[in-house]
Amino acid sequence: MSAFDDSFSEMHDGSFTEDMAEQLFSGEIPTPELLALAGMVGDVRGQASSTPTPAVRGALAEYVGVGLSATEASAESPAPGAVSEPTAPTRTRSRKSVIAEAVTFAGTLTGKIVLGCAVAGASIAGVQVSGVVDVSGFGGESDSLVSTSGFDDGTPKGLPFEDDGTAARGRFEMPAVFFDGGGNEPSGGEEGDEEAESDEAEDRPEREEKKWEGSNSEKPSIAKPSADEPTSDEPPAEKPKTQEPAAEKPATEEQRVEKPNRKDQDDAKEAAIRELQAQLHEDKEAVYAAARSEMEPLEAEKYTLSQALNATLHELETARNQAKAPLYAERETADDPDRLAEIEAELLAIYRQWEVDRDAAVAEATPAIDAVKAQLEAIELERDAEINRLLDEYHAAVAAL
Amino acid sequence: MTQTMGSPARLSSDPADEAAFQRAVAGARSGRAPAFEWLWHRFSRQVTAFARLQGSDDPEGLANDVFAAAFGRIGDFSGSATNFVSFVFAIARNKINDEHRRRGRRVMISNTEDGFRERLEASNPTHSAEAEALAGLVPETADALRRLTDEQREIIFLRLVADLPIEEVASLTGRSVGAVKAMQHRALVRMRREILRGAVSR
Repeated sequence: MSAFDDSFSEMHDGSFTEDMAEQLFSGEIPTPELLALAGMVGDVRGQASSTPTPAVRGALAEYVGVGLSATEASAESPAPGAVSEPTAPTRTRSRKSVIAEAVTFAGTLTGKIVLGCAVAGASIAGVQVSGVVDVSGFGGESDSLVSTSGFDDGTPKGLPFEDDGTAARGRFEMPAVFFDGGGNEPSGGEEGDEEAESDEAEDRPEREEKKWEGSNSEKPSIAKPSADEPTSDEPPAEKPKTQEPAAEKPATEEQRVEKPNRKDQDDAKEAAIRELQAQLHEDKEAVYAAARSEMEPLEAEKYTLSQALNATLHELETARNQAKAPLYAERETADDPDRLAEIEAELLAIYRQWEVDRDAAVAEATPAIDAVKAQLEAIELERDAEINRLLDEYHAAVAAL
Repeated sequence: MTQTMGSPARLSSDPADEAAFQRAVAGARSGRAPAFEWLWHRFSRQVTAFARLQGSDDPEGLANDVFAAAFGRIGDFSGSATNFVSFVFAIARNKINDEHRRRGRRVMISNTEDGFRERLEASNPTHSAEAEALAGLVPETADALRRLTDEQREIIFLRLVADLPIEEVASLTGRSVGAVKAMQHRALVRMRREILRGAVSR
């Protein structure tokens, strides 16, 4: 039997319990024999913490970064693309952006057709709601036709992650703040002149109804049966036809191509935010790179120390087995009971000595390993603190724009 | 004797951390960009590392796609930080599998002159990317992981990189808890065997 076989058989699989496995997975070393394995486990576990936060790009920018400009920095300046792709963060964008979207959309052939139908529908529905006429087919959704919910109802139709096939279209709820007038809702002051524009007339009934909830005295006299108000839980299929343009959203690539064409609607603030984002990304990468450069030699040192301890333990085991081997052989042939007892005592003594030596080796090596780990943790903490500081600075700068 | 080994970023059981997570989810549901950023900053590295270890061609891009999809469905999500990680990694697994399938198809199409290689890579699309995927690990760890089956390796990564408990891994992979326990046990035993083999051969 080789040293390997002997060693392996002593640490047979049966001794590798479920608890030990869980200890390993939770970053502990159940027994000194498992130190090297714990080192490997730690190596894999460390992959996540040593990986820098990736750069935000593509569709994610609608949520992280670009969305910030729309919801945090300014309620007036929508992010590019926030208009054409109604994703969750853009639901809080300003009504100005909706107006801009509506105007842009109305300029297209499809927009003219759809909005024309919408306006016609609005006329019929308005009359119907006010009890003048009853037009079947417009029924409970008559007011929906006059809304611009296709642009701003938060329904994530055509979101850029449709390739999953599981995107929860239409499941978003309108943020509460949008209804209660608080939070991210753009200030009411801007609505006065901007929303007097006739282009947005169809947008107003539903929204105004929300805005004036709880203020009966000055509630605008816009007829709107609340029972018929479309809810956010309604599936997209139940949405009125005015949303068809939004339903074309699967062509997200085309829409992205169109976004630069709308740049002229953005101002210097948008550019400034983008600059800040670029700077933030650059700074974060620098922080991660600096941390990595510090951590890599420490990771290597930690691994070297762990491997050295493992080698020491292995040597101790080998020495123990070599010392025991002749005794085992003698025990097989010895007849003298006294000698057999002596052999057993010697074997036990060897084992006890091995235990002492093993614990001593672990005790000797552990402080150095722990010291390196502490350094690594300190670097990680410092790195994360620096990243948080950069994020705070970025948010403050965006808010100050 | 139990010692502590390493302390990579783990899902914290700290109530304060969980509370911060719940605030972030609530903010994300309201469409607040800082909340999305918090979630991205908190969990994207795990997904990126997982994608890289699983042989993704573009781990960062995949992480972007995963979080865009997850954020799009944040309204459907409710639960703890661990549940969120499971939610995100379920998407990541699907995307990685899609990528492997696409890669397999590409090989079938673009490498028709080399029949053997074609069949090899089509049958195991991760094969060619494996070396690069594990390049970030120390060589001994990478060697040991290569000895594992794809399924065992995935279990190990989900436990260690995603930091998911065994029940979540079982749910995520569509296996029973017992099956996952058995797979991770065999994986660890095999890794330890590789350590011993390496020590003896040196």
